[in-house]
Amino acid sequence: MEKTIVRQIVLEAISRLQNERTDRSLFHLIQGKRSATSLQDAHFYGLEAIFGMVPLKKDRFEQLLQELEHAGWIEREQTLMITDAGRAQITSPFLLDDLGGELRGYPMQLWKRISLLIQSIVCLDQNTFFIPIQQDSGIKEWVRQQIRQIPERSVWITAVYQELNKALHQLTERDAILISYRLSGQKTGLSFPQLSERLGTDLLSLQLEFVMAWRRCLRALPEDGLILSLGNDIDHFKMTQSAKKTWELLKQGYSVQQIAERRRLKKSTMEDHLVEIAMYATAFPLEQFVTAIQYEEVVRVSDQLQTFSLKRIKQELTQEMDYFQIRIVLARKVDRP
Amino acid sequence: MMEDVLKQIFRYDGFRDGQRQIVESVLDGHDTVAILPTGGGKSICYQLPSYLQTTGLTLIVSPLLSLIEDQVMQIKRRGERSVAKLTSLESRDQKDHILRHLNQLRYLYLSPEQLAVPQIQQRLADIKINLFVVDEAHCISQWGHEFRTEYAKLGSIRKQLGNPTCLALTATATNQVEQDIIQGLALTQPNRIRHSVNRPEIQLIVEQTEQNEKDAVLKRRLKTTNRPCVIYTTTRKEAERIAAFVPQAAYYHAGLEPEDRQLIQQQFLHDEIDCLVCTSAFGMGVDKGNVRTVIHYTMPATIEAYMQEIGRAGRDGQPSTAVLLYAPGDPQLQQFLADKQYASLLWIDQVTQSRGQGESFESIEQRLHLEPDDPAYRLLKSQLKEGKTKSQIIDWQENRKKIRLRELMQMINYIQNTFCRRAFILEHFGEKPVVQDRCCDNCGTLTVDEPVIEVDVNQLDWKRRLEEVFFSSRPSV
Ligand SMILES: [Zn+2]
Repeated sequence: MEKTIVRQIVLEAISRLQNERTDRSLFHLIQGKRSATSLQDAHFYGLEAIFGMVPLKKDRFEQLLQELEHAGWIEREQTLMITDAGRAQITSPFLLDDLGGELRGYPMQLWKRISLLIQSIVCLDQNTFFIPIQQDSGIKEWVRQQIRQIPERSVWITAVYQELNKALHQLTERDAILISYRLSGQKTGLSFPQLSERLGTDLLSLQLEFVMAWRRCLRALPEDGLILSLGNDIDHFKMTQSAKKTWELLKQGYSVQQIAERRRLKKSTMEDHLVEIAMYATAFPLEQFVTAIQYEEVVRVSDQLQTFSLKRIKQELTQEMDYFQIRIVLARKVDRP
Repeated sequence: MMEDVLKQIFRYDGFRDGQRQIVESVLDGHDTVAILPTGGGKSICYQLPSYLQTTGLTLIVSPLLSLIEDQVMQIKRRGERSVAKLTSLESRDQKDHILRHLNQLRYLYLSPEQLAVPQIQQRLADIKINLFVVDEAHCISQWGHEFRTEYAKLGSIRKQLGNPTCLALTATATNQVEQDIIQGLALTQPNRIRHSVNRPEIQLIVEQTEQNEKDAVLKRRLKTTNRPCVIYTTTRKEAERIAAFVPQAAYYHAGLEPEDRQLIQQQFLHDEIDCLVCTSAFGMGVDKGNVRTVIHYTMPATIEAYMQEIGRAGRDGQPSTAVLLYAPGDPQLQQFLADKQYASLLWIDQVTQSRGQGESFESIEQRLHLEPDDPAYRLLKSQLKEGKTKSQIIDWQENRKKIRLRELMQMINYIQNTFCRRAFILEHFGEKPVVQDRCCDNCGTLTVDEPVIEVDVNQLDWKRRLEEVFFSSRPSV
């Protein structure tokens, strides 16, 4: 079976899940479901980059797993497991780390802004009629505002061109093709089906390749440049809105009990928030929830067994701890980038 | 006076056929039914009068969100800001804002669903409405396949708004449908302005073949087919399959990502691609003058739809061609697709029974594995919500199916008829036949297009491409 990019990325994800999660868990991950479990999976298993980044429908996802199973690359029982043959298909560095899911919607949001802004300014400058390539009304409104703030169109066009040209030179030939041929202005970008035919790659793989190319392009662009400055106000916090509110109160010195009462949160919701905060915040009052000895032991067991399975860890512990406490420890234990 | 406005605001040098009559009729306060072909400049007819009246709102009801969006965008592009729209896409806040500032508006576009909302009607009743425009007015007719239930209420709503002058617009209407429009909207002695549906610049061809020969016939024909060219298919899969073997063709259908859809439309408008293979999803609001050929790989379900679709050819008035490929089995496919739009008897039975026992729609959907987005199921659900009984629904569906079958038969008759095709169409719309050159394959007065020269496709080169995107438009696809 051909090793397409989609297949490779899904294989990589399955290998990172260490035989501890189900196909449902993986599906929710790639869909970017902002539930406590999925956020936790992304964080524990090093899959932040894939979070919400693979546009697969349920039936297509199922079909993909079946293909991998038929090829003997994965096995599906209670959990998803990669076989030796499957592992042999994976080469490092992993592709999925370039998908940019850790930035939540930021990369694509910035793409929509910049692609429509380039098209609008170039066409307005040359006085040519155009159909806006982005239909999102929020994006269109944003672009309308920006256009007013650009004094010299031709100067802006040259500056953005130079910035992009320089960045694309740092990428591979293929990445540069993917980005330049999706842009519109005096020329119109190619649709994904058109590009997939020209490059001889399947459609979904090509879409993922584009996402990765754009992520790499963002890294190659100057941080204080024109293009990146257009995305300064785009929210790319990982924390959900609700957990963020809890965090704010926690920082103001309220106790967990007080916050739960004030926000009328159930105990389980409160715990989910705390785990989220532990995962993403730089500072966290860990001592409020576990002792140093408890922390040490969970870390040791998790390392020894090489697992994030709460159940397996709990069985090995000598001290009495609940699942919430174990989750908090694991959330802090994982290295934060 | 009228010409000044036409020139200054709309930047046209003169009126097209029928436009002046319609504007004058409306300005005189006459209810008006106007039948203008697609691309005949409908929007001028209701947008212009407003500039010759001191106050008052022009209200436009249109069934298609994409058309509303498109119109509002075009109006804004010419610098007119006092335009707004009320559709399902606006937020509550946006709607409130619009309703509070109605008296500052020149144009308000509405979907029929929004017009049916009582609060909106109340606010509209308080202000002066100069003109009540009903676009796609044929949707009011029970006899057409595009019948919409919300349109049936327009007559009474207009009354509640104080009977403002009404302009009913449509591209295609038989005499029967025209009568339905007049009655449905309760028009009083309306002026009827009918522009012939004939498009003299388009020659009409039907090519009969066998199913397994169709691709070959299409390929052979494309060798001498003037481009830009549109090939219509019935299904998305078919559009993709055909685009794969036609040189330099791209496909377009509603299943594409939104960004891809915009890209393809823009490429086609810009002449960066010259062959588009698409489903009927293409065409709404796309105004491209130089389409030379429209080919139907499979026949549409009605003559009205056929006229709409071939109407995309030759808008610049230059000689153009419409080709319809036909093979035995095509009508069955159309009928199958038509039937799929209605719920099966089994569904109707199961759902009505469960509803009778007080089960929620949500739970029924889960239990019976019904797709909430399936149009057939959605229709059934809305009928049940309106309080229709099982037998009413079944009767209604049977009736609809009969109408659709009759329309399909007319389409088949068009194909199999051995006399002049143009005369057949004109008769269908209650018009007299005409004699002209480049008429149809049955008359035998066709012109043949030049052989197509195939151009090589350029290598992908990102440096050149980037430069072209920003600075020049020399060809590189
Ligand atoms: Zn004829």
